[in-house]
Formats: sequence, C-alpha cells, structure tokens
Amino acid sequence: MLFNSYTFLYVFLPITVLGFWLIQELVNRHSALVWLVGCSFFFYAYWNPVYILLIIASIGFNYFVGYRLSSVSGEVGFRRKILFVGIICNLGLLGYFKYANFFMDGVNKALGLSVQIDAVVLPLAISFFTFQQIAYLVDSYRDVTQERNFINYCLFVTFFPQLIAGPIVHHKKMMPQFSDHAHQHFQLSNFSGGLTLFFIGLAKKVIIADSISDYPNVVFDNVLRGDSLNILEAWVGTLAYTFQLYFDFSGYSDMAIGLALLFGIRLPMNFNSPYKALNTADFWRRWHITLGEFLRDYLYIPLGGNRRGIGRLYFSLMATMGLSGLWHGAGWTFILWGIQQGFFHWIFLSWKLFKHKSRRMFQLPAKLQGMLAVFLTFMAWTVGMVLFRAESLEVAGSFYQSMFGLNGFAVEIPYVHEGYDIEDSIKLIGICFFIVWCLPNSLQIMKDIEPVVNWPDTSQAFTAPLRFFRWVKWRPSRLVACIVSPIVIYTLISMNKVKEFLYFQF
Amino acid sequence: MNTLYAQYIKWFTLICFFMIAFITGFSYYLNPYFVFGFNSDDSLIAYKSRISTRKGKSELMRHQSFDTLFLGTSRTEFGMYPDAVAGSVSFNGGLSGCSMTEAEGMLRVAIDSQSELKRVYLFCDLFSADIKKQVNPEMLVSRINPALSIPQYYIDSIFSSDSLKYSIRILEDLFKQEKTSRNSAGFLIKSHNVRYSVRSVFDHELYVHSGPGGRYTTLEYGKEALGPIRRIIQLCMEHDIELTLSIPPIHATLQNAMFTSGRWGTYEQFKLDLLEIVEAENSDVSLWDFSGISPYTAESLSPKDWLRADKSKWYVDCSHFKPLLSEEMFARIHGVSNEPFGARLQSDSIDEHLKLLRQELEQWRLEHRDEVEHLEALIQSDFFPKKIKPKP
Repeated sequence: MLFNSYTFLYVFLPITVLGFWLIQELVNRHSALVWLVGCSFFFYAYWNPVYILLIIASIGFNYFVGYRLSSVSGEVGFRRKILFVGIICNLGLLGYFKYANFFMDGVNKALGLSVQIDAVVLPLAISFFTFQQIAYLVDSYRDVTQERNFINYCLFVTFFPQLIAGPIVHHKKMMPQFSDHAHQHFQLSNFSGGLTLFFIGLAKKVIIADSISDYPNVVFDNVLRGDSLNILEAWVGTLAYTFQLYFDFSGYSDMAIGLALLFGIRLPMNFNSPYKALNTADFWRRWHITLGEFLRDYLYIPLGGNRRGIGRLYFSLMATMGLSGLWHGAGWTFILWGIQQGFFHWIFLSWKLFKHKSRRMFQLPAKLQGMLAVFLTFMAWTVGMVLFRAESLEVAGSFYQSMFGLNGFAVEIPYVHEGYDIEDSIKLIGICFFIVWCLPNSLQIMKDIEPVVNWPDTSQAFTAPLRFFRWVKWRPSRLVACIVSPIVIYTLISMNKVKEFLYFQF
Repeated sequence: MNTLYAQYIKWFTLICFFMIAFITGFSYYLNPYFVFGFNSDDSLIAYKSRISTRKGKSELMRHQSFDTLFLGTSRTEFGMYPDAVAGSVSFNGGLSGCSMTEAEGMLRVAIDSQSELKRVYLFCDLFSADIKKQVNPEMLVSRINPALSIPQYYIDSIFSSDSLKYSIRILEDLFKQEKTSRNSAGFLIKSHNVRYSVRSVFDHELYVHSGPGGRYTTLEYGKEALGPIRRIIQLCMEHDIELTLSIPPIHATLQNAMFTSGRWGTYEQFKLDLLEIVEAENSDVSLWDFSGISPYTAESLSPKDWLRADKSKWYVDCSHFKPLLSEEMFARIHGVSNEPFGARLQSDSIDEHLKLLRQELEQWRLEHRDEVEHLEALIQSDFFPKKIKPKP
C-alpha cells in the first residue's frame, strides 16, 4: 500500500488511527498496540499476502534468538555462536531474495555457464527489517537490550509508517516509547503537527518529485535504447533525478515521521538538508541518517573506524561505502556507486589533511568557502546519481560521456520526447535549488513540536536557511491553517497519477 | 496551548471541507469526461474537448445508444461519416494511436452498455500491433482498462487536478467560443486544419512515421500483439455481432515511407497473421485490405496545389483519409461497387495479392522519384515534428 494512494489515505489511515485511539481510551494501551501490529501486518500483506509469512518467520526467529542471547549469560563462546547463526540467517535471507539472481549472473559470466534460477521477487522492505533486527541481535549480545515484550518487538519491526522505506529504527529509540506512559494519551499537538508533517511529505512527493520524474525517465530510457544525449540533456536529466530522489525519499521520511506522530510515537530523523552539506562526510550525516548510523555502529566502527591509523580509516570507509552501495541494490552500478562515494570520502579526507598542513594557503572568505563547499559536495553527489539510476554500466558510461562533453558541447534546446520539454525541467530544477538551498527543511519548519525522537539539543544542528526565510515556521494558528489547507487540497487533487516511491525497490 | 491546536484543527478542517465541496461540486456539474452521465440537451457538450480521450470516449459510448461501432486509430476517427452505414445509428470509437488491446477494451465497454449492438467495423493499422505500445497510460485510467479500480476512478473524476483543470477548460472554451471538433457520437466534425499546406501536413506525418523515433522506425511487431483480435472475433461471435476487419487505405507516400523504413515485409507479415487468426476462428468475419496503390491512395497534386490547404480530395494527410474515401470503402465491403479498390483477403489468394501490392509500389516508386528523394531528404533533415509550416 502506498502512502500516496487513495486506499491508504481515505480508508486505511482513518480506520487505523481512529481504532488505535478508541481502543487505547476504551480498553488499554496493550490492546491498542496489538491493533497497530495487526494493521501493520495488513499494510504489509496488501502488497503480496504470501510474504506476510516471511516477515512473521523473520520476527519469530529474531525474537527467539534475541531472547536466547539475553537469557544465556556468561557463556561467551556459546552466545557468540548464537549471534553468528542469527546474523548468518538474516544475511542469508537477504542474500537469497536480494542477491541470488545477481550472484548467479556473475557466476555464469565468470565461468561461462548458463545456469538459470527462477527470478526471485524481492520482498518489500526486506533490507530495512533485516538491518533493524540484526542491530537488535547485536545489542542483545552486548546486553544492551532491555525490552522483552513480544508485541512491542513486533511493532518495532512492523510499525507501518517506517516499515517499507525507513527510517531504519533502533530498538533503543522505539520500544521504550511503546510502553511509556507519557505516550498513552491523545495529544492535539502531536496530532495536528503529525498531520501537517505528513502532508508536507506528501506534497514533496506528489507535487515536486513526481512532477520532475518524467524527464529523467525519458532521458535514461533513451540512453538505454542506444540514443546518445547532448551535454545539456545529460546534465538536466541527472539534476532532475538528483532532485527527484531527494524529494521522493525525504518526502517519504516526512510522511513516516508525521504518521508516527498521529499515534504519539516519534521516529528518528532521517534527513537534515543533505544538499546543504559542506563535504561528503557531512553529507552522509544528513542523508538517510538512520542507514548511516547503522553502518557506522555495526560496520565502520567494528572495522576499526578512525582509531587504528590512516590506512585502516581509508579501508573502513571504502568497505562501508561499498557495502552501502550493495545494500541499495544488487548490481554493479550500485557497487560502483558505493565505491565512488568511498572515493569521494578519500578525496575529502586527503584534502582535509592537506589543508591542515598548509593552512595559510587557503584563506578564502568564510562565506565563499562555504558556498563553494556546498556546491562541490552537491556536484559530487549529482555525478554519482548517474550510477545510482542507470540500468547498466553501459548506460552509465554513455551518460558520463554526454555529461563530460564527449558527445559534443551543443546546447541547443533539444526535442527529447513529445510532452517532456527540457525547458519545463530546467524551471523545476531552478525551483528545487531554491527550496533545498534557501528554505528551512521540514523539521525546522515543525520545530515547535520536536517531531523526531533524536531531536538535537542545539539549533546549530540545523543549517540556518536564508535570513529572509527564517520566518517560515509552523504554528497552530488560523493564518497557518489558511496557508496549509490549500496546499493539502492541491496535493490531494494531484494524487491521480500515483507513482511508487524510489526507495521501495531497496 | 491545547486551545490553539484545537483551533488550528478546526480551521484546517473547515477550509479543507469547503474546498473539497467546491471542487467536487464544480467537477460534477461540468462533468468533463461524461462520467456522471450524458444529457443531449447539455449546452456545454460542444465545449467538452475531453471527448477525444480514452476516458471521455469510453464514457460517452456508455451513455449513447447505437447499433454500429467503428473501432481503430485516428484514421478511423478522422475518416468516418456518422451515416457511413446506411440505416444504422453509429458511434465512432476510433482513438488516436489505438492499440489492439485498447480496441478490445472499447468493444467490451460497448457490449456491456449496448444491447442493440449489431455491427462492428475494426480498422487494423500496423502500429496498433506494436508490442511495446499495447498499454497507453491514458487507457489505464479509463473504462477500457478491465482492471480499473472503480472507487479510484470516481474519486479521480470528481476530485483531482485533472478533472478540475478540464472543468475550468470547459468554461474557458465557452468564453472563447472554441468548440470541440468531435460530436456526441465520437465523429470528427471538421477533419482538416486549413492553416497548413497539404505538403506540410504530409511531411509531418511522413516524419512522424519514418523519421528518427518514428512509428515505423521504432516499431516492434509481434504476432502476440494480435491476441486481442482473436478475442474480439470471439466476443462478436458470442454476442451475435457482425464483424468486419479492414486494413485502411494509407496514401502511397506513406506506403513508400514504410518501404523506406524497411517495414514492408512486416506489413505483409501483419496481413498474413491477421488472415490466419480470422480463418482459425472459423467465423464469418471478413478481412479487407484497402492498402496498396489505387487511384485514391496514389492521388497526386500539382506543385501549386501541394502548397495550398485542403486541396487533396481524399486525404487529410498521408496517414488519414477523408470520410469521402470511407464511402468508397463501404461501397466495396457491402458489394455496391466493383471499383478496383481494396480486396477481401483469403488464404488462397493472399500470396498473389501481396505480390501485386509489392509490384505496384515498386512501380510507383519508379514513377515518383521526386517523392522518393523528398522522403529521403526529409528523414535526413532535422525536421522537427512539432514544426508544421503554415501555408504560404
């Protein structure tokens, strides 16, 4: 079920929210949570009922393993074996569904074989719920899990606002909220703020991401068919995709956070104006924050992080980013994209070291330095988007050729496909630049209600928007209601061309 | 503080409610796609241009009564008279770029809504059998789509940017007095744009078909795309409907474009496959081929007339024939005329027929070197499909 579908918006959501609060008020919190788990399972099964068994089995298995890890104290070797089995089973499941076809293709090509396996359908959200549960197992092994309630565990994995495309939630942040008495009463602030944030996310998806998505689809399809693009088409196509991905995914995250608030639950922050980042490391602290945190805590640091010398630091970074690429998709384009991100990290680290040693050489004014840094970081990400979006390495190669002028520098306004004018895309890209670089982000707009669980202590955690737009802030007032309502209605009437979220495929 | 939030929710709800009420009422009243019924006394019908869409046409078809249905692409839509079949009440279900799947969908809608349906004329074009283009995004949101979600369909029709935009468009057109060119039975009232010269509109269609990215250039023909034809035949047999299949007459210049694009062999295979399906179903369905070189399709103009508008007697452009030519076709189909125009395809004569057409085209190409060279130059040029040069 898509958040931007009529079924979800007009049927599922009202019934689920109403049912939850009625049960909570009339019966008790536990029953309300059971209702929410049931609704979440229904939400998942709506896509393909068969895979409900998979998620149930995964939950049952991981809960049992986590329970065993916590209950067997002292026997380090035995506990390590249990953890090992748990992680292997999770990765095996993910590997089978996500990577089996890719692996067999690779084996066939390498060994000249033609072994065929049936195409495996990737179950929705498997990458997300597998990572969440691996984190739970590791923390059970480390004895840092306290919550044992099975319903709470089920809800931690299946809570429908974050089930399909994140944020990747951590049990430490989520499970205490389910039992916490402070969350047991309906609060108008949460409800009105959650509703507004949900519609901000929906507007990002429906009005911006879906509008800008046509052009990249056309140009990438053209390259796939063997056409070559001119330099303008290639850059416009890539920039359009860069913004489509941002508004699509951050829109989804806003919707997820807003939906969770309707139930009085706060999800973690997943986006913090990544296109305002000053460098690649900063970027990854702002883009898909929960995935970055997972990879940092469960991969980068165990690999040595930055505490074992410069060589190990470079290795840990490359391995983490390479695996991040593989997590996003089973294909060489994703692996190369991850390596490319690791390479950008290397460049940034090397630059930082170089700059540190030759301090006096670089004395640009701070503002100019900041703008240059934001621009370069954004461009590096944009270049990477070609690998992220391309169907194959050949398509990516052809795209890069066009982007870097190997197909010529002609910039006449080209005709790409009937109905998709490049001029419209350029205008939309201009609007997107304005939104991401000048305006406050949605969490800054909603800061009065502190919509996320890991709300930063200081305002410095957010990059300040342009001085002129600092007044853009949500408040519970008539005036704001008069501004928000037309946006909501415009979003709702624009929902007739439903498009899937890009991160559903991961 | 709670009061402030309550007030916010109250105002938010109120404004949303009034806006929803306004938009739904507006879309329901103006009803751009005829989803909420059709009233022949409606003075706004002439301004409802969405009749030309899959959604509009399939809805309109449901609300009309007729016994004869024309199905096919824009050639059908442009080329039929409402009284093309004497003594019948007809509906023109032709859709621009209609695929075989869509034609089947239109027939299903017609069968579901018309108890008196007796005759169906289906005009089969080669590009309708492009396997890549069987499903049109516009089809998915119309009654033609058998998997259409009806609740979603009604919400889209009453509360969407699309319905609002086209409701407003009706008022704009009313204000500007710009009437739609289609009547309430789906027929085109005027079928020629007098702003452009004959040469311009011919060149436009030639480029659209055989230029880079053109219909013939990118065509992926597959026999599986003719599956809907088999089902159309079966549906007509089940419901006792007389079905006639025809391959429409395209102008010789476009046949030459097909040849130049290397699609002549595909065109012949298409005809063979159609005949095989018709004969395999063992039905009374007749299959007519009006393509080929005939006095109509080889209509030639003087250099001066090429540059003037509406000087072609039989053609709107090289792809679309005028209703006058459909009269000749129906005269042949119904046995009224014995003109050497079109032939009923049968398995014992098809090879001879295809050979004859090939020879005729070769002969035409020899006699019209200027047209052959003109086409080659046009394909090589950077002729922009949207740029139709106005008549001098």
